[in-house]
Amino acid sequence: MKEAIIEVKHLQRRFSVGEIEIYAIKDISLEITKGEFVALMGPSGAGKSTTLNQLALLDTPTGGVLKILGKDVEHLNQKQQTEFRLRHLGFVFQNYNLLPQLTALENVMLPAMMLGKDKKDAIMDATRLLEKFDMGQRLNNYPSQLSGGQQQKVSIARALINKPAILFADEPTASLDSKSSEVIMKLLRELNKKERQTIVLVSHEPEHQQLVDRTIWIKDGIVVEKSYV
Amino acid sequence: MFSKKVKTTAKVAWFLTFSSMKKNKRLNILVIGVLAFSFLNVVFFESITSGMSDAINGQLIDLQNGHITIEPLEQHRYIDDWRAVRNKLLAFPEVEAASPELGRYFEVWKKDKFRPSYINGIDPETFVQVKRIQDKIIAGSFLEPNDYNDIVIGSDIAGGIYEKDSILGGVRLEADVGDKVILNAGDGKQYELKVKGIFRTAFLGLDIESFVPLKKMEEMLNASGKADFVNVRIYNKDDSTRLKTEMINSGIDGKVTSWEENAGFSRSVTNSLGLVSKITGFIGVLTAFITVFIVIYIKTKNQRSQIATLRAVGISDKAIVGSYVLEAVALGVVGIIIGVIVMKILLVYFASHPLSLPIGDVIPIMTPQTQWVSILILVGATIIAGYFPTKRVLKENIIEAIRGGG
Repeated sequence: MKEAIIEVKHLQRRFSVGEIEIYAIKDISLEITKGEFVALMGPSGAGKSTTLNQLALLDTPTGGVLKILGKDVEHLNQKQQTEFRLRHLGFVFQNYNLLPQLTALENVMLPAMMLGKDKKDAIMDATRLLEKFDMGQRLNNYPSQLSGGQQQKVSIARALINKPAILFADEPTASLDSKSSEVIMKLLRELNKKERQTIVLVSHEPEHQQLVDRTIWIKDGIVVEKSYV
Repeated sequence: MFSKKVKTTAKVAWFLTFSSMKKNKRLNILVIGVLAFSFLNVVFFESITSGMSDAINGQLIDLQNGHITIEPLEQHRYIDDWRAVRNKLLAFPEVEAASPELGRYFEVWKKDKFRPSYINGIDPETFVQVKRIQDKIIAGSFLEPNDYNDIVIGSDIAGGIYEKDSILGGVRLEADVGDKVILNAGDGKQYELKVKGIFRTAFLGLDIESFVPLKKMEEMLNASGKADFVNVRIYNKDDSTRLKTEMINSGIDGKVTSWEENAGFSRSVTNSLGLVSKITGFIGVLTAFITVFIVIYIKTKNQRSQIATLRAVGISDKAIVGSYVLEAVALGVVGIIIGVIVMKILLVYFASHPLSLPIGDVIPIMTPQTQWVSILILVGATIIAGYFPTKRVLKENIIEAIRGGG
């Protein structure tokens, strides 16, 4: 039996708008095993990104059970969540979210430094990672000097620098042209295949189903279908 | 000394600060400029106050009391044997000079005009070793050991061309060097003296007083060998309190007071100005605080998304707060250093071009205490101004902050 790296039971995320309560996710239960490449798909407003944000500890669920790496994490405080993200999780944003005052290299090495790595070692690791993604010539470029695809590569490198157990990606190709999208998806696929990197991805693109191991369909805040390729 | 975690947090905070400061040079220069002026605002007026206090004390010593004054004991009209007192005083190695004075009010007449004036009988030879009135002569010359029927009068008695920017009223005799004036004792006795010099101190009411040789005063008052007080100049004014005690213990025939005890006027001026100085200093600190607060507030507001991204990738709140606080402090420290340099340049300038005030020439003084207290207060203000706006942004939900932009 494969090891479950993420276990979710009856997860809820409720928002209050005045006196009205809105459920962004009503009842999500799922399991993701180590080394899986999973896509969360569904129509707009289905709760895919909200689910991903709960799994990545960027938000706190209002109900249910969330276990990551066998640890109950839904009640971690802000400080513990940050520490957990730093050590075990990587996140790739749709809009890359690189820090504009830092170069590509500095953006990538920052989480390594936070983990306590020596600056020299952090530079070495970040350089190796960026070179692996064909960004070796762009180490000292600021985000404003990079294309969308290049920025997303830097963002992926930043998410991977601390060798996270799980890489989360929220529509990583939504802001890219089709060619760059293809490059990024190929890169993610390779990471999963070659390095057994667990990846959880939110996507709108139907063709991405072919690249992942499994697609979890979400609609109106609940899981409606789980399909394997 | 520090745990690895603290060191890591500090390293990351400094890394973020340094990167941010490299990117915002123009804004940083502006903030540093404001902080430098805030520092000057805090210290400059206080240094003027210290300078004024020092100038007043200097004038009191040089023109009025010397460093130490020996007065008659209670129920004694005079110091009965000033020579004996002076000899005892000169036995102290710290004493540079001692000089007796004997005086009273007379009517000073010239033709049909007169005004009352306190006439100081002084020993010209020792007087100039204790006081500095002789440096304030604006016409003629000061009294010399062999003078007898001579008088040196203040500019507000002389009037005419010698009376400049005077704040004291009263009759002017229109007297000049070489003129004869009559001293009327009020008991029918009159003394004709020749004006040898005119002095102007612009200090308190001194310019309506006059000086005659002690020998003449002893004759006029029939008080040979007697003095109202003996003024003492010492080599180091900081010894005055200790020396006073030693003089009392040595059995000096008189009441001993130090210049600090006679500096009531100086204290009153300093205390009044000190309050004004504290208010202007507070405004300076407030300006620095508000400037840094606004800059960091706007910066953190505009960088909500960046701060949320930092949190999302695992950068601790402490490192994030630390980076903004460090930036505020770095701006503050550079501003303060520039402020200190400008202040030192101003001090050098004013040392050679003192401010000419009615109480005398004032050279601003920035004591180490003033400097360090101001620095600590300003650094404290920048820490607070950097901390709270950042802490506020860190309370936001990461996803909302990222969507909020910036």
